[in-house]
Amino acid sequence: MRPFELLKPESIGECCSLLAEHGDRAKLIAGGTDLLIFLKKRLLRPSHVISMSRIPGLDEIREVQNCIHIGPLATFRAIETSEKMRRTVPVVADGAHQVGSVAIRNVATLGGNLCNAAPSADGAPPLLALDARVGVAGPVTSRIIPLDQFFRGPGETALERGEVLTGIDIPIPLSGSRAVYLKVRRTATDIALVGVAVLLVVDPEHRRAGHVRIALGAVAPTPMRSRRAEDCAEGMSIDGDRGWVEEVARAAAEEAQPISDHRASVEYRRAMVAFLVREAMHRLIEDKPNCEGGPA
Amino acid sequence: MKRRLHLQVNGEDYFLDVDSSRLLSDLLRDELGLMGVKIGCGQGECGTCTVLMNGRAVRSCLLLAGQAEGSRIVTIEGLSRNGLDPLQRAFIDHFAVQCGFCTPGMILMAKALLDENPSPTEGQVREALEGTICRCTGYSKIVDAVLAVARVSRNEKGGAG
Repeated sequence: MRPFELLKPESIGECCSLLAEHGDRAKLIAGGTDLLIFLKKRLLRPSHVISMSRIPGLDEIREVQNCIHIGPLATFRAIETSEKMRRTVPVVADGAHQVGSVAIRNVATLGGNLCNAAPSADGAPPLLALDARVGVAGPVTSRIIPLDQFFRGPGETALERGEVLTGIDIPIPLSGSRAVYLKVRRTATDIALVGVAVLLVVDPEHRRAGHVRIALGAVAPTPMRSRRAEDCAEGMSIDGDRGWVEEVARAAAEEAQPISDHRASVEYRRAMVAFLVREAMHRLIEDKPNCEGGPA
Repeated sequence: MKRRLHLQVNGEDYFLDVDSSRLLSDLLRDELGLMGVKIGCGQGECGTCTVLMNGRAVRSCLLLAGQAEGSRIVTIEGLSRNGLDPLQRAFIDHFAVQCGFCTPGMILMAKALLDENPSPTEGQVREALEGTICRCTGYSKIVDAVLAVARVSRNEKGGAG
């Protein structure tokens, strides 16, 4: 690695000032499980690495009114084991659980995952399905960005010079909502070659799927919502004939924009989008998000 | 660009002047001579660099030494300060060691699991060891060894055997 100076500011303000001062020559470190790899491979060669670990309170998971607030340094392990998360937004805990290995999850953070902005980020599809927002602070101002406007391209976010992610806010879903995150990967600890999060709200009287959200990871330049697939599912009856699920799966596969790489081909990824959307839908219709065994 | 770093490793306190870009794995091996910390893939995917940091299993090859400031680190050497740890004894008794390269990582991952969940199922043991790779044993005897330690500690506590 190119030698660098490690700085540990003690407030968000100080952190933003340092980032603004050093610009492209500085990188933020959260858990570091992605950053260290880039540093070792010399894909990034910052002169300054800035850690937020001395700023208190950034790893909190709090319930505030009807929202779950997750601090930028909350680890995936903390999220997957959080009773609050499992009770209110379990699909985010699902996504967290499927990141890497336990040892990686003990250190890797959701905030870092989102800011790294890999198309395959497991933190993203569940949050997109929940209409999450991120809080961002800069040297002078702070702002809220809906997550579906946060990702700008592979490895690129809406963060401007001097800005840091200060938290993730998730509106707690309506009662009657069901959600699941599924991922296909080559080995037990690989990144997603396709990731799918589906959320729907079942209206108890008419038994129809409402408020459908279908978010895809690793099949486009950024994590994305498949709005055409959502439209196909909206209002459909969850009792009786499930032929509509096939249309939803097909729409999602068509809307995805996967590439071929060493993990999988375009064709395989499209097929897996359809497979996972279909599987997710059947599980949610049956209200068995974590069922073992083969597809319905 | 050196920083003064304080950490506790295997029960001993150390105050070291360390380059900001020094990896925790390299500090443990080269400054402290703890060769039970291994470098396999260097990317956090094989588990041979695993250490416990404040009780949690972490990949030391993916941590800057500076990220461990003020932490309590335990390496495999730290488990045998007062005789062999039950996990170490079980790995020997169950023939769960062949070349031994994965063994420190496996034992430390298992230790972290049992400290949090003293009675894991076989599935939970296998899940906890995901991402810690063994080329030699096929994992069965490693899993047997971990379950044996769990069984013994359950029996000692008088729980259902």
